[in-house]
Amino acid sequence: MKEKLKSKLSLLLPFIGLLFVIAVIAVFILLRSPDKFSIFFGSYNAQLILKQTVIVGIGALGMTLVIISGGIDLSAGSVIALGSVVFATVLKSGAVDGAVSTGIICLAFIATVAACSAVGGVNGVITAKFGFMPFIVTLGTMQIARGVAKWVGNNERVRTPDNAFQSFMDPTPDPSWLIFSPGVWIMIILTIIVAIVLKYTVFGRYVYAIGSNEDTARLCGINVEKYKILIYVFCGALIGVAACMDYANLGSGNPVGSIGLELNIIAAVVIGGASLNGGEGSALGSIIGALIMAILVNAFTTLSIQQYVQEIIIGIIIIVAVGIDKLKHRKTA
Amino acid sequence: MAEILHLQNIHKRFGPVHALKGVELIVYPGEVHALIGENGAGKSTMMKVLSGAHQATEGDILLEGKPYKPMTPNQGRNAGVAMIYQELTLAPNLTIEENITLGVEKSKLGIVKHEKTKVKEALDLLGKSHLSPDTKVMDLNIGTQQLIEIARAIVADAKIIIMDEPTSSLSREDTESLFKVINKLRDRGIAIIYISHFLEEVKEISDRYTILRDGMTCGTGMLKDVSVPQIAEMLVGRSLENMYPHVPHEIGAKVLDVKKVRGISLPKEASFELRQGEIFGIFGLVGAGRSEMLRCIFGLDQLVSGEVHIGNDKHHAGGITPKKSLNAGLDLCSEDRKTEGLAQDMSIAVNTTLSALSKESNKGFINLSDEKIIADKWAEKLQTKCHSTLDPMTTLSGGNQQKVAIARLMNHDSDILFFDEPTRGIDVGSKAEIYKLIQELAAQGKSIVMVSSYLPELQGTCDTMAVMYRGVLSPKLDTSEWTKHKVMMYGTTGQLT
Amino acid sequence: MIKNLAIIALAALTTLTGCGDKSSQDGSKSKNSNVKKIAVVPKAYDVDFWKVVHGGAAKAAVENKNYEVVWQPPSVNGDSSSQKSTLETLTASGYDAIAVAPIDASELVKTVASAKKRGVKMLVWDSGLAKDDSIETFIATDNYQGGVLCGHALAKALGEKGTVIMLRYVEGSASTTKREQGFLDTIKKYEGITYKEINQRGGNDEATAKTASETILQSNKDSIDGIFCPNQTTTEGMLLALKQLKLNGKIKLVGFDFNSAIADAIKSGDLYGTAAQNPFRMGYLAVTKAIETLEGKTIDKRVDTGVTIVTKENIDSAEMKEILFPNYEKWISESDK
Repeated sequence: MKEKLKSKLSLLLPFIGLLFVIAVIAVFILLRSPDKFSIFFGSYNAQLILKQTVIVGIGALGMTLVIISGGIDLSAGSVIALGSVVFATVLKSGAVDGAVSTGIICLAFIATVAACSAVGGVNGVITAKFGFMPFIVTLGTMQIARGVAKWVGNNERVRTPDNAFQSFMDPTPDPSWLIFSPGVWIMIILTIIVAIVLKYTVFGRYVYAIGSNEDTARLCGINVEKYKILIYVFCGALIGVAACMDYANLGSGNPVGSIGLELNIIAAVVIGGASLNGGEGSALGSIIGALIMAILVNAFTTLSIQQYVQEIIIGIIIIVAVGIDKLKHRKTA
Repeated sequence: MAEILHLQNIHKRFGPVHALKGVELIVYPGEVHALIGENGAGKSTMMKVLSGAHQATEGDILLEGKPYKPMTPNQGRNAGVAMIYQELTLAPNLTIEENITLGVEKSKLGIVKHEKTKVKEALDLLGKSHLSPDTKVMDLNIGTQQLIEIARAIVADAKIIIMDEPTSSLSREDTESLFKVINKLRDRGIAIIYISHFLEEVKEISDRYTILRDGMTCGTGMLKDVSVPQIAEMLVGRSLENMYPHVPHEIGAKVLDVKKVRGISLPKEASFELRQGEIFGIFGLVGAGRSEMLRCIFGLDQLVSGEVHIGNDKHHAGGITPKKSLNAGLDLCSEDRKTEGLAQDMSIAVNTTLSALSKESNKGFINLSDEKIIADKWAEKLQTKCHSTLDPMTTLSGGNQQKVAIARLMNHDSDILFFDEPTRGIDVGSKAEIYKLIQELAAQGKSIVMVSSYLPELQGTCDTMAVMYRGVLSPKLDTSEWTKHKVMMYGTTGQLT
Repeated sequence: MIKNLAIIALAALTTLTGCGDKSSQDGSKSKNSNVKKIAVVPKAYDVDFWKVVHGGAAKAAVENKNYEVVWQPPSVNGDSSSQKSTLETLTASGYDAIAVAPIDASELVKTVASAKKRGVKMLVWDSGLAKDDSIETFIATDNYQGGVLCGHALAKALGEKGTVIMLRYVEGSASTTKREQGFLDTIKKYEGITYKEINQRGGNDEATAKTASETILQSNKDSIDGIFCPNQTTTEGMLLALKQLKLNGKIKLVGFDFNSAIADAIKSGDLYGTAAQNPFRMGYLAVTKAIETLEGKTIDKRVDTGVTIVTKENIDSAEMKEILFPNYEKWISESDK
């Protein structure tokens, strides 16, 4: 009974963190600029914050899988840049008389997800088959993906004709009954899928088992190498979707964009309660982590708080999140 | 009764090394069969052949009369041979159910099907019916985790369960509940191959035994027909005249005075005096706070109150660090060789000289050839069995690793030495050598504090003893005054009478 | 656990409040919601150029106390995705006018248009926007003209003969692309001068520019006589590389933008000349034009802030000093009060 309660509580922890951050911001706004209160907590700003969560959020879903399995993917930011370039290149070459058909958009989507999954596959194969540290492997592919992105994009932003997909990241959707932008819905659906995969499938079970104790997993007859590759490919595919949303957001493919984004993604996953030692983490937690980061950046801009303050506070929050995680473990040890 | 397992003339070669030289083993269903042998005798290799981790070079295995040749641990598991390793092999972040079904999940379209009833049945059998299958394994204590490993074997319908040193990290209480479980499994007709160094324990739980020495079977029979010393003799291959050799040593002036020390949670109150050349033993159940007390005095854990006098130096709570203690001539040999006591991936030489580095280095540079000379000297003196002192620690057996740990202390040459469970997980022959070493150290005028949960070794080795109960240390008495009854009385109640 | 959380809460609150007060922006002195609010969004926050622009904007803010003026750089330097988020958030938080220097000409088009739809007056400065039908005005240096002036200056430095190259800035920045074009069109008119295209760009910061320059110089140092760099980071990066290879002064360099390091290089002869914009005036105009728009005045669609070539000869003249060394720090600190 007590254990049940404990496990429920640890599931709720990211939510508590979210409410806590919102409460602190509310108090702060009331103290400093009460006139901004209705703006910050207005419906338009809610739509905006969710939309601003999408890219990091979807990336964080992929990263969650990798981090639970005890790995890390530093190539995420570069791969998002590469994906956006691939998307834009396919659109550009498939456009007829400056018009882009839905078929071409679908093709671009598939090509982007495939390209990013391929990078994931490279990460997975090198990590699993040759036993290299994922940190080093993905540090390498981070550079490689960036280089390929510049090569494919010919060192320039890839411009495309205007098309329907670009409206996937409008803060207010058209039609308005969608409430949130299509990108937000894609993120929600992917979160549910990843949550189900992690909790109810054999694959998900093995992700946790490999991260928790790789030797045990091997001893229990799990093909650790195969699953590691699958995990990185799955992560790559999700990062590919994030790349599509990055294209939708900016309307072009930018080979020098998304620099350092992998660190925001990793931070979101960590704030969401995952452990870099592996074995722990959840889809919902990571999305909430991404949401917390987006809320903070939005609040800082709304209140025009300077850059360095933002950086300090986000840093503190990451460390506090890790601290709470450690506290949780000491209680259960 | 028909035999369930028969190993016939099994040979195993690793290149030039002939690890198994024609081993025989017959196991019947519903028996606990003790497999006894010193480290390096070939027990692990034999069990790995049996579980499918290694393949025999020569010889046959019959399982229920049929030839059995597993190529992977999973094949062994499917054939009904389950192995429970000395190091726990559970995934701490997964739940009990997830661990038990790991690798053999039943699923439909990739979605896992729950098998809670099966898991629950297994937990009932193990007397842990109060546990929920949804509890995370990291929330369980070590004894219960061990039972989960057994549950895994039960759920997999194992016919033979191999237990490698199952009690090495268990308290007496957990050991007893493990024995109850073993008895239940025996009643179900499951055969258990029980590997252990604790001969008393082996005698208590097992029906028959097989002894391995140098890769060969050198004795088998009913345990009720032999005594513990007889087993020990067969093990070592020579007569063990004295398990606890005595080297004359003189007890001199007071060198360490510990006054009412108290740690953050343990110990609660501990005071004792230690004299030169004295071997002082501390007994207590696991969790009584013995290791914590040593760690507090040495400065590894924080001391909340109390005083420690080393020679003429006085240390107050809060002012003790391992560096200060080392400088004052106090050294500690940790109970945890694997993670704390030794740097496992580094060489024997590096480990031997680690704590005395500042003494041997020249302006921060380490003379590597000197380092090897020093390490070789100690390896020879302590008869550490190794190819070269440049090999990593991981190539050594438990007993030899412990010798390196002691060599580090001896090389640093402190006057007061704390030994925390110095013989845990090592074989009988090495144990005797360690007891002798401790006696010799005392004869050189060193003062020794030895913590153990194995009463006979304390009674055989120490001059004086005390018992710890829930963080409180009893007064120190001469070893002869501590009857077994008195020790157990204090160890379980905190009362001397 | 609860105790711990409470401590963290308290700590976070104090941090927020404490830092917040220190970082009080130009406009926070006014909490009156009837005051009209203007946000100025640069491309980055840690380059001298933007600080001078900030100074000009601050001067305008000091002179117009009845407006609230906020300086809001994007959270990641030079990152257009981050600038887009900043713009979206500012639009949501009720500003009446926003003056933005777009990092990318096309990526902000939709955001600017939707801000206008929400009733925000949009002004663009420094770099242009691909579609300008949603904006009130474009306040900037005539970058093409600046490039032209640099072309003539470099030709003069070389005696109208030799081989020249250019270290281009990152792709997609409209202002530098125009300078590059202006330079190119001019230099090609000189018959004695050969232009050689280098397939390497200077990147976002001095360090990248320096690395790129080293590579270029290693393979071309014997064949080139003059170099043009289209902004501050490429100019400084190239200067560092030239000094390192002891080619300073030997290869004539004409840069773009101005700061104290560039001034020193001009005085020492390492740098032949640079095109000085008037960033202070640009910041000042961004705010005053926004105010004029909010007051309902009609303003020109295009406002030029002017470019001057600075060389060793004219750097110490009085009128140059006015342009080159505005006391921006004074205005920033004054507006912070």
